[in-house]
Amino acid sequence: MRDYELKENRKLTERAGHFLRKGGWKYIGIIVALIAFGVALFVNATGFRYRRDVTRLVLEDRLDILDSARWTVSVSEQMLRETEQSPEPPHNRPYLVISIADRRLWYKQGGAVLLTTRVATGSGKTLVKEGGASVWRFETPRGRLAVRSKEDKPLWVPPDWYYVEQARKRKLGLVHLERGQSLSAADGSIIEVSGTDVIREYPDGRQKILKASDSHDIIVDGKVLVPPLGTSQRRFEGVLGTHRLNFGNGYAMHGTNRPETVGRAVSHGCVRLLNNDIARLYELVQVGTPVYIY
Amino acid sequence: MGTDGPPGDKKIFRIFAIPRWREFRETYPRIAAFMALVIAVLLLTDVVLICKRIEYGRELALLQASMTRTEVRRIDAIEAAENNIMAVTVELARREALGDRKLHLVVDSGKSLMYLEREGAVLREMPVRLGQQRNVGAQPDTVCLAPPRGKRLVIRVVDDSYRWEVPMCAFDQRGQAVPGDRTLPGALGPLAVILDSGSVIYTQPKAGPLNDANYVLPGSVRAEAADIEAIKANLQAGMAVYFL
Repeated sequence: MRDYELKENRKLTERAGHFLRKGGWKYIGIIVALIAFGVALFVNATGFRYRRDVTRLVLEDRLDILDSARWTVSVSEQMLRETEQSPEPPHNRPYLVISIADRRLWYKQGGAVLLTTRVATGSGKTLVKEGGASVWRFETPRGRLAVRSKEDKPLWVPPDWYYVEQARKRKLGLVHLERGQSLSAADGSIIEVSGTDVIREYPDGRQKILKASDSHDIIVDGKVLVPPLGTSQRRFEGVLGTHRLNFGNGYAMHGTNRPETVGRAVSHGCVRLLNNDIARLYELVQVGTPVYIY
Repeated sequence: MGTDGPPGDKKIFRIFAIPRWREFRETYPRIAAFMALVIAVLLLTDVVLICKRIEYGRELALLQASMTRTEVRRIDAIEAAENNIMAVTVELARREALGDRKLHLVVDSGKSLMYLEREGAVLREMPVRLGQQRNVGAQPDTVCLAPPRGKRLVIRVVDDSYRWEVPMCAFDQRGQAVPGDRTLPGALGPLAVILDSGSVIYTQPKAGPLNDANYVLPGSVRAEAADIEAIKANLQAGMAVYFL
């Protein structure tokens, strides 16, 4: 039995040796190499396929995000178009600008300056009437005003502060004359209103119309007379120059009989220009034109 | 001779000698046929796998290229949307400014001009310089200081007596040592406006880190002192400032 097994083993060994000698090892080697190469290729290809599939999923996600971003772009473009197409507030009308700090006026329309010139503005001073009954602050008002009316050859009706100021300058007192009232002067004459004039009536019956201007005040017994409103003695010619554009509330833009003051902070709140400039503005500026003072 | 070697070695050598295919086929016809078939199948499989590998590689490269393009387009789209939204913001602010019946300021960053406006009327045009956008501070506490856009409000108008905490970046950018107390009087110049965004419209101070004609604090606006002085009486808290 043992001999038989030995014989069979030897036979097998001889057969295998013969098979290998005849080139079997080479073909087995080729098969093994091809299997190994195939396995390596399979692993590699599977890895690439996995990466491809993952990349495809990520790409799909990114395409969704891109769609969302594109939608945002289209919505924002539409918003921009609608915004640009919506009507703008009107901003092409002409307007006046006055800078108090620069003491300069501009007449503008759109982005263009149609006229610019120097002006005099409020002095910023304060005047207090004796006893503190009235306080005036001579400032040009800041804000938005408008041209309410225009005047050619305007007359100036001096406000009360003018007489207070004049009396203080001359170191004189102040006396008010009302309509229907008469003032007795030391020389025996009587000062009263007759029609639209302030007159002086002497004891002998003579009457004299009193004259007043910005350079000539009516003095009665050492006091500056304040004529009543509506009288010709309270209307001065030439003080406001050739033209006036009224802003309301007693404020205006006007010419002057003192051109040397233009460019300075000397007015009582009005805007003072050279007569040539106010004449041009009188022609150019329409009633209702906004005036921005800053 | 020694070169012949022992007989056993010769035997082994013969095993690894390269016999011819015909001899092998004649000796083992069935095995040879089977092995040839197996080799052919394996070769075919390998060829198929190589083709698949190439196909997957190509597809992957295409997908990656597509992903890169998609990413670029997405970034472009986001940027375009942000630009559009910014343009809408600026346009809305411009229109709001045109219709604003109250006195307000308009800062046009494109023209480097600031306007005092009301109802669309330009009362004053003032040249300004804007501090460019800048990231300041160390990571992760970096802060982006950018000029504001849209509508802002004045919260305070200050003069040279006001003590303002100068940002650290102003010292760093000017190469100055950062003092322990950065709150300096008059750091914003003779007149300045502080906005609700934290930005400031300031004038060149006589001293301090902002006293440099060539330097503007990032995200803020520097105006001429004469201009701010001329409009000072008009500046007040609550006033709108439109950044275009």
